[in-house]
Amino acid sequence: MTKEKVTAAVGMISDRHILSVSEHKPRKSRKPYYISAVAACLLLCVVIAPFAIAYSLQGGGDHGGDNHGAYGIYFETPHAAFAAIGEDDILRRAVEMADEITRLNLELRGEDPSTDGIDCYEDHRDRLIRFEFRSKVDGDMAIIYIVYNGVTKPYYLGEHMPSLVRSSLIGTTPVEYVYDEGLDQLDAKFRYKGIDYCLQYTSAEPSEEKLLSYLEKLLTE
Amino acid sequence: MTDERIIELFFGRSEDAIKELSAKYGKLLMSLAYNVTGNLEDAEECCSDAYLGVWNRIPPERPSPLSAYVCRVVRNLAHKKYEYNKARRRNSEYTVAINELTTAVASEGAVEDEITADELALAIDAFLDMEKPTDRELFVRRYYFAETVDEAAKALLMKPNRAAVALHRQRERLRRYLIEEGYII
Repeated sequence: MTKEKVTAAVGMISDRHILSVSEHKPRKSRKPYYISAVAACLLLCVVIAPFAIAYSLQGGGDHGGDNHGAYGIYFETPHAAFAAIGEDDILRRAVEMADEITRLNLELRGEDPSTDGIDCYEDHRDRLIRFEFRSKVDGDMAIIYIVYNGVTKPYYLGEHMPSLVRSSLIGTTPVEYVYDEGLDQLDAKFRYKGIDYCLQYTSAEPSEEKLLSYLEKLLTE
Repeated sequence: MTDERIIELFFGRSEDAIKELSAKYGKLLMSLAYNVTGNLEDAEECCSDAYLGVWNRIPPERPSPLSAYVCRVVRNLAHKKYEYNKARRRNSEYTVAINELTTAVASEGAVEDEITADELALAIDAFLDMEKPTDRELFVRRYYFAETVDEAAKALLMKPNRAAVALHRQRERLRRYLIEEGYII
């Protein structure tokens, strides 16, 4: 059976089968649930955060570990979480940045998942993406971990992850980046509000040239 | 706007007909043309030619369903463009999808030579009728619309790995069906 014959036959399949795609109705998303869940967690964090900061200022931060009496804060939503460690100023900037990212997450989640919105289907909940921001000022280090759910597929990289990164890096100055194909890990250094950060991207998915080329474009714009 | 209303606009020779057709099905048609040709400019050209073709054919034709009709027009044009590009070694996702399917059902037998593409299409139709709705749509997305496995999986809320496995099993089932029905040996 020749390829031409198979090609022609597939091109002649019945209208009723074509209609299954052309008349396809996207399934309902869980958007309202997610938005309300994120909003609830944000509210919770507003209540908990002052206590967490106060606790940390007393030297009890769980996320410390450097030699400067680190202050810690921990923030978590079902889809986004971060921990920050550092001196007052760094902590303030970290919280600022995390707030911005969290706010952007909410905005992204407001989009229609069937088009270009963030993927928020239950099937994909187990896919985690991690952004790690490191800041070095006079030897101190601030780290923000953002566990971001549902954007690991290469298909989404051009759609969602970069827009998150792009939005998060407003006003930053790209410095350099290194992509380790073997580890499927990307380290990008950039400057945000006067602080040098290192963005580390890792994914459970196989490495993608698309990610590299997109981020190359992103960071050189 | 309903398909019937769009067809009425064509019959009334209103230029809004193409505008409305494009608004309703433009994204789908563009995606189909792009998947087959693998080139944005070619895809746009195919869609433009398809709109012109539909304009020239309606009236007198009154296709129902309209969406399948325009998909067929675009796919035929895109396939011609694909053949042209193939001669120039410009590949697309369509190549991958067709190779995938051909590998599964191809064999070297005299019987296959006597089967026409029409007969094979009827066999595939009958096979698809027996498939579950999700599997059927997955097949059409992959082999008719030449979507990538990831795209098809996303549309069906499946994990890509699961979709790839489902397609593999489906090709096996199709092969067995064609053997049972005497289309291939």
